[in-house]
Amino acid sequence: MGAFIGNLGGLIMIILIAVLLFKFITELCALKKSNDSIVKKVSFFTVTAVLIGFVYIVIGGYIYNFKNGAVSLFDIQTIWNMKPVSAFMTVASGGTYSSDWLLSDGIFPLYPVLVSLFSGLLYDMYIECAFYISFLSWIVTVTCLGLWLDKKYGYERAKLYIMLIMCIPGVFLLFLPSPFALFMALFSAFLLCFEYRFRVAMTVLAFLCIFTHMSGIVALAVLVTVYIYGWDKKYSDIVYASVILASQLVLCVVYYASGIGCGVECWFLMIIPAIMALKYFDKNEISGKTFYNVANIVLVLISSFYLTAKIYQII
Amino acid sequence: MGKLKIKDKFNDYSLFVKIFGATIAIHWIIIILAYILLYMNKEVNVGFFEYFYTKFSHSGDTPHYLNIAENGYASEGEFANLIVFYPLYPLLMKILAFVVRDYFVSGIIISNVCLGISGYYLYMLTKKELGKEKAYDGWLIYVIYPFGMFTIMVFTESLFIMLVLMSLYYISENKWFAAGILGMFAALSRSQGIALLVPAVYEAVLYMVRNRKFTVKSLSVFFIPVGTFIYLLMNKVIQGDWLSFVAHEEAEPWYNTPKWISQNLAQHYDMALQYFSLSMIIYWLQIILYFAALAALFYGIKKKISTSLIAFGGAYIFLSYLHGWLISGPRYMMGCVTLYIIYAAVENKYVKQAIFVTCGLMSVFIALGFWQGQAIM
Repeated sequence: MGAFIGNLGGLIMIILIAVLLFKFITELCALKKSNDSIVKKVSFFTVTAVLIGFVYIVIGGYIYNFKNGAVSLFDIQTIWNMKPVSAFMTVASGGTYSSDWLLSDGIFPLYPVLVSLFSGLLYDMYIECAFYISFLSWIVTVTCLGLWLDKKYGYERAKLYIMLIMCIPGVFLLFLPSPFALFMALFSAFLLCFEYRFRVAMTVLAFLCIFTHMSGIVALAVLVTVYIYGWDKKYSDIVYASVILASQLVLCVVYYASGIGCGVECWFLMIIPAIMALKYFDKNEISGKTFYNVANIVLVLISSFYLTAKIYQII
Repeated sequence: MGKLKIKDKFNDYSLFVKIFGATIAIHWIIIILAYILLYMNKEVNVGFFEYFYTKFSHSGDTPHYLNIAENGYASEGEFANLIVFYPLYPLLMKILAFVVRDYFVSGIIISNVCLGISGYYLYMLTKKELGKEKAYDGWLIYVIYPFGMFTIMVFTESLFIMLVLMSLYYISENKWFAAGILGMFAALSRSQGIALLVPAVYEAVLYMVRNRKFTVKSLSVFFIPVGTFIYLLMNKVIQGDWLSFVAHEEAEPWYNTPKWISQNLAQHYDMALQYFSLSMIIYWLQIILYFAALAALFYGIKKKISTSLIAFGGAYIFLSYLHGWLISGPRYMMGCVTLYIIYAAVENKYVKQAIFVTCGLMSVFIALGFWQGQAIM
């Protein structure tokens, strides 16, 4: 019970920080008398991320507790002992980042270094710090993807699609301690910059992606395509979707051959080209709604299957 | 005009077929996904239907219903206590078994057909209450409810829920005779069926006051307690006492003595602290569901859901939580259909999706526990 209260206190503190940050941005926006719609959108995606993340933590902990006996819901290391979390936890317990981590487990330096830096401030609570960073990454991922979708399809569709994304099997790995969580946050920010044509920010984020995870190659491939091909051309969506898909497929082969990585790391980036392709068959309000309804129920059931199987260590 | 009517009829029929099929299909998908997990975990090595038959014809209340359907109620002896189970469902199994020649299969067919119809009536009732847009949401949370697998098994759930929903629908349409007869059948399938009397009387009185005249037809709502009376009469005829079921419920294996709700909740809490594993799927869930359901009813009042529906929800929860040593709370709460309509009325998208994801994520896990023979009752 003590551990639970302690962890809950830690999590609430992080949420408080996020809320204060958000409040700060809100007040800044109000001062500038800017349109408040962006604040509304950011708040929607942020709150959704926190809420759904919390639901996953509780349900995952519940299933684990039922199977294995009492542990705190926030005992991340015990409950979520699965790839890529387990790979990170195992090496991370060894201390400071070394190049061996890259060679043996494919762990790139940015995330462990960030965790080390902040865990120093948090009295060496390495795992807790990793979780907090990942959870904040999850919020950034959802918010950036939401804003990206908003720019692409409008706010109403963006809300529906972001709900769908949060039901994708394995989405819980985006807020658990692993470099992939940070990578997804950076990559989502990269996509947002791509949509708003911020070339310099894209370049910086692409390099940060490479220092975080092997999938950073995808960001680099998109960046190179931007410089060579440009944007706003007739088939640019198809071109960029193909680039992401092709580079991700290559990475899947690499993952498979080297024995590192996990399913989620392989399939998660595929949602980006899938979303880009959506507009070709999700054209009107009625078919869009039907598509959403069917996809929502299918995804949540598969996600339930996947989550249970993972915690039962069946797959 | 005629063409338009035919088209409307066709659309209604097409909607019925869609909802009927989808409601059943989703429940089977959940149970199949759980079976796949079981198979992958090497806990079973026989085919789905074979294992389904052997497993579920011998678990929970199913053997009791099979026994009643096959042999009827006993006045004395080992099976005399089966009189605690209400008669409508085993009676329907008996009738259908003349055709399909297997009581278990007969029960499964009845449950699934009732399930499909219940999905349709939930949709229609929610549509009437909140409009077409939200009707889907009410239906969605019903099909994804984590304890939904009981509705495709040989349990009374789907028959009861179907009858309750139909009765509530006809109450809202002021079709008193249909509402009364269906309510009577509901009271013949589960003890909580009598809860329908509350919304029925409520709406009937309002109807008469609104129209400023006494309507004889509205007295049909009193068919509902007739269902309970028939059950009590059955107790008297078979075992010589109007309340013989009470003594059986108090004895082994149910130990089910009616007590005031707060005493029962305190008992759930004590049991939750004593038995960790059971607390996870029984006691904590019962406590949480109780408070969540009450909160939902208050929210329903705020959202101006028909008071009669809220009243049904309140009466149903009240009756369910009077059971001492309740161990089937999460299953019973499935029958509190008001909650699905309240869910549909939720405007806040975060809360709505969070509830949906919670139920969705739990569904396959709970179904797996059911396959494994965990204490999910």
